[in-house]
Amino acid sequence: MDAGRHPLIELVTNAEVIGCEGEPGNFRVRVRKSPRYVREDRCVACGLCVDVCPMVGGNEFDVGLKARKAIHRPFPQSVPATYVIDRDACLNLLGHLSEKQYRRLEKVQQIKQRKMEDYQPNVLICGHCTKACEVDAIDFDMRPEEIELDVGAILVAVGFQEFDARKLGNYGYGRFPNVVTSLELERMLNASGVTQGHVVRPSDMKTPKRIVFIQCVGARGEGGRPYCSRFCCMNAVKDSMLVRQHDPEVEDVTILYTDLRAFGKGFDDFVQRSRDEKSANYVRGRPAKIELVPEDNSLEVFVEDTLEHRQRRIGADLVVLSVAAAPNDGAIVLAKRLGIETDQYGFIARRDPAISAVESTREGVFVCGSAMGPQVIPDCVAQASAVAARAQLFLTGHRVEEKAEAVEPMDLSGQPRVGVMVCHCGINIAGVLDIDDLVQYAAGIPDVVVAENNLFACSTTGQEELVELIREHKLNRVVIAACTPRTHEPIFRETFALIGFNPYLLEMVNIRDQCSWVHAKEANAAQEKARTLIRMGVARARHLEPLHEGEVPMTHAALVIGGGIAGIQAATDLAVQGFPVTLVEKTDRLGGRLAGANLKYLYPNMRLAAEVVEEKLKRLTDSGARVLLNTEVENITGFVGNFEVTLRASQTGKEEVLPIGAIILAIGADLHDPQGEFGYGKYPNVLTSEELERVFSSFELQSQARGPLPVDGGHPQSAAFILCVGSRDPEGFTGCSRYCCPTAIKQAIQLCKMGIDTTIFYRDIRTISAGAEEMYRQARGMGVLFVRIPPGEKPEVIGEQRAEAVRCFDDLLGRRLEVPTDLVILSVGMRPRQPETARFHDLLKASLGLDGFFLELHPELAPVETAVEGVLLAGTVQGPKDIVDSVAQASAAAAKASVFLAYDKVKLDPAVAVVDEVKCRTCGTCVDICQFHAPQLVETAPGVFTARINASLCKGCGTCTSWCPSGAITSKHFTDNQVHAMIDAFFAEEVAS
Amino acid sequence: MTSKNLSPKRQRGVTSPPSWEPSIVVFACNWCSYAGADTAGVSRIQHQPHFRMIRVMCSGRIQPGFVLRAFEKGADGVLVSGCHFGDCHYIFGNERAVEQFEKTKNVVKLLGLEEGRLRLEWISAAEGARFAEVINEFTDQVRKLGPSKLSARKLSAISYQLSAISQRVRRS
Repeated sequence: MDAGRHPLIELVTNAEVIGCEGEPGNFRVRVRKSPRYVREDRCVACGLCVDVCPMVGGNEFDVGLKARKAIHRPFPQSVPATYVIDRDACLNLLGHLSEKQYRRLEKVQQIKQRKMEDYQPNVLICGHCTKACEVDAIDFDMRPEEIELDVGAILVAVGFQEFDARKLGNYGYGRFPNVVTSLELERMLNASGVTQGHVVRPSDMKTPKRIVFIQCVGARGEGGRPYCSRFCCMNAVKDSMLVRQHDPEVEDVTILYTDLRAFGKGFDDFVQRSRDEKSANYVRGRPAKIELVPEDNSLEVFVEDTLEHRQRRIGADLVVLSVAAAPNDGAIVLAKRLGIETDQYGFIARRDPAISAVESTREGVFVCGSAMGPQVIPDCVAQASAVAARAQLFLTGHRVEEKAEAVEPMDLSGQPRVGVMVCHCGINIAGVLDIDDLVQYAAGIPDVVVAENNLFACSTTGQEELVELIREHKLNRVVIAACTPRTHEPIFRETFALIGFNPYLLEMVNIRDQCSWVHAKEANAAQEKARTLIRMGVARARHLEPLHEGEVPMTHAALVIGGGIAGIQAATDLAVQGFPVTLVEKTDRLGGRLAGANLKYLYPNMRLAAEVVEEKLKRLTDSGARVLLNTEVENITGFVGNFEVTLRASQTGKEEVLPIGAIILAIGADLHDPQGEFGYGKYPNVLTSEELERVFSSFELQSQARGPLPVDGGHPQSAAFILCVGSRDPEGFTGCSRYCCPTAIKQAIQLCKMGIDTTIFYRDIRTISAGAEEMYRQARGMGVLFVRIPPGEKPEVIGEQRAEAVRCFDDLLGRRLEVPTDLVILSVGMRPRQPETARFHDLLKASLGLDGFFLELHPELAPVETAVEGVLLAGTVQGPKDIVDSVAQASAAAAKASVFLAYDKVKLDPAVAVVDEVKCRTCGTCVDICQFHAPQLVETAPGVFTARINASLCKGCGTCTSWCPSGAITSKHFTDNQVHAMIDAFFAEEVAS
Repeated sequence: MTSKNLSPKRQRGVTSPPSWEPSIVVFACNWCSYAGADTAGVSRIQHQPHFRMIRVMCSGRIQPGFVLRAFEKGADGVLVSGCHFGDCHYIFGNERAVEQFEKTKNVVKLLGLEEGRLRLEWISAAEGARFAEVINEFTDQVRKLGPSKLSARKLSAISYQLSAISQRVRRS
């Protein structure tokens, strides 16, 4: 919706790329636009054509579970909000004719047209929609057109498609009616979906009593796809909970899994909740087959429970297959046309994920989301923003120019002179409501100077009439009774702004979406409702006040705090766009954990960490960012666009004050200190994963020759890894640290190569990053032993002077093991970095999550923003991440920062809260309650305090207004008076006679 | 609603309703519940028409005074609605709304109104069907309760008595 309305975004739908020439910064892309047969500029999305269309096709959005007409909107919120005609289903478009027949028909028509001047092509077999359409939007003469676009950068975001579960015959999808895919279940669960949120068996539409979810269908080995799809585990857990909440009739939900990969922020807690509430039984095992019980179409799932070590037959009324993500069919063709490469599975390949998570193999062409491999939504969104930052490099003129032309504001003072415009919206409103009656009624309301009707108020002519009305009757309030303000208020406001009529003096009354459309069968009651709504609208309009957008100048400079890999990336991405960037690092070197002898190789492609850092630092130097080492942030004041940051050099103690527009926080995370656990600190041969990495680095730095690994004066012959040390711990950090599984496997492979026998003690193997699942298979192939730790148990490290063995119950073998080992490695989890996290939480007032990491504004919609505008998060400061994800998030933060920095001024929404300082009793309730830190107590005179709301921080929610005990706060545009007037008008008929 | 001539024949002008129907005020937040009602419209999910919607930006804005004023003016039921937890456009506005709602509920109880007349619901922008369901359910519930005891006439009687009492107090 926002994208469709954005002035700088042009949508070309129904289109396909057919060629691409040129170089980065100057691409010429040829696009074939298929006709939608409905003119976007005319269609008002009224739906008359749908009512009359006789042809039905399968609804793609509801995965074929529901029907739709040949002329349709793909789904209710589609953008553009225009209908489209399905070529294959429409009678007029002769989709049923072969190409040859169609061409012959065209030829005949051409000949006839030449002979007879007024010949009308006789192909309108149906034409119902053409007749029904009141705005002549349907145009069957549209032909595919080819357009050329000149662009600077290209982004591939083609997503994925479902794995076709028919390929796995033993699950019976497509053969047995009650085996459905997770997407089909999802549509059923959706309240506005096919079954209004009820889960049913497709065979008899009854509620299933027993549901079995099968995970990893088409992923992790089956159907030739070794990778993990990342999102399915959590999806199944979520769906199982939803099913339970919706239908108490469902008695039994079973999830058959291999590893539960709940790797995201808060995911593990969610799984725990599901276990606590017993919303599903978790059974570890992959079914061999599903058999049909023909009597009642129910199913039997044959599975070996690998934890209980027995064969089971689980009866089910409905089986849900959690199907994997497969590359889009068209992705390979598209890649060829764009001149980029795909990986071995058909996803779009990246040049080097550790350098940039979003660069494809061709410069200037980027990729994000599931087009490059399965992703969860927060990662997709972060990558998309990252692309935005990287693509800036190839774009010119990216600063948004301010429009200079100012219109003389109209004089709108004096007694309210209200004009009411009632819209027919074709027959959308007029078909149910009596418009003349409404107009007449509105004209009788006090203060209403004029009431008119209009066929389509939002059309160009409609708006012109509106402007005419305002000028003619010297109106100072306008009430438009039409559709929802959510979509149309911006349109009218724009028109009003153009003529100098204050846009905040408009009130929209929703008599379409919330009246004529939903009360079509009760015309009388609907009429009464519309009358009341108009009365209430006029009542509010009387109390509307003209509001003016405020402005504060924007400082075009950015500050990046922290010089790790995320900080470097964020600073580079901002600096290449030409913004002055300052990168502050506390220590004397950049690179964080990657630099120095900390890390040796990076998974998945085993690049040397030092090499990666070198390339990154080169890019940073080229970008022109200012780097301050040995410097700490002393103080931060101000708000977006106008921060004032005090920096202090730690050696000289010199202070410097910088004006800053946006701040990127990239202070990283700490590693868990396992002191006292698993014999760490007691035995010399118990190391953390980080220490092992240092051993690797120094060992090969010293001697090029490969020899036995020197640890603690000896050369270990065997090693044991213990995973989840300080992660997934009910007493400590309950989340997953994401990076440890692939890191441990990477290290195990390296040890194996040196001839050291390696065992890994794990809870679930969560190899979720690109290439990690393949690494896991490689490790297994090389003879690395994997021992599964049962939940609630911790392995025991035993020995006298040194650690000699690890003792643990093996969940899969079902017995206690004692693995002798010369070396124990603890894969430690991540922790919020202290005391920095607490300090910046204080300074910036950005909130922390329950886990202690900085809290993003919204996990899906705004993964890098904080509730404090202009403060962004990059890397592990937001939660545990591996290097690839940190880098992507850093680029995303840079992109979001440039959204602020690209403007010369910060526009302030005038519909915010203001404090009446006379009434304010300085209780501080508003200060406590606001999530955005807008209200603050200020000293106005010595000893006299009052609350004041910073308009640039206020979002206008009005929560403080409702909480203020002394009524000192007013929410502009939603004042008490306005709401009260609406309530009063509902119950009081006040018609001037 | 297929075309003009097929639309239900209706009487011009408004006649008084044949039987009593409840008057319900619905307070909705701009981002979820109001949008959910729009979604019901787009999907043409029919529901009962006896409610009137008042839009605010966030459910956190809905103060006890709004609800009480609605009852005072003669509402038979009030529905407060916002985003599901975790979905709030303003992060925690809806959680604040719950706190306000609890306060309001107590006052409404003190006024002698039935609990069933006031309700809090979370409806997301996608839940058009749920919006319709909630409206139907709530309307039926309020209809069963009958007209509000705080009807405008009774109230004015009360306030008259109150002012009389206060005058007497002042005089003495």
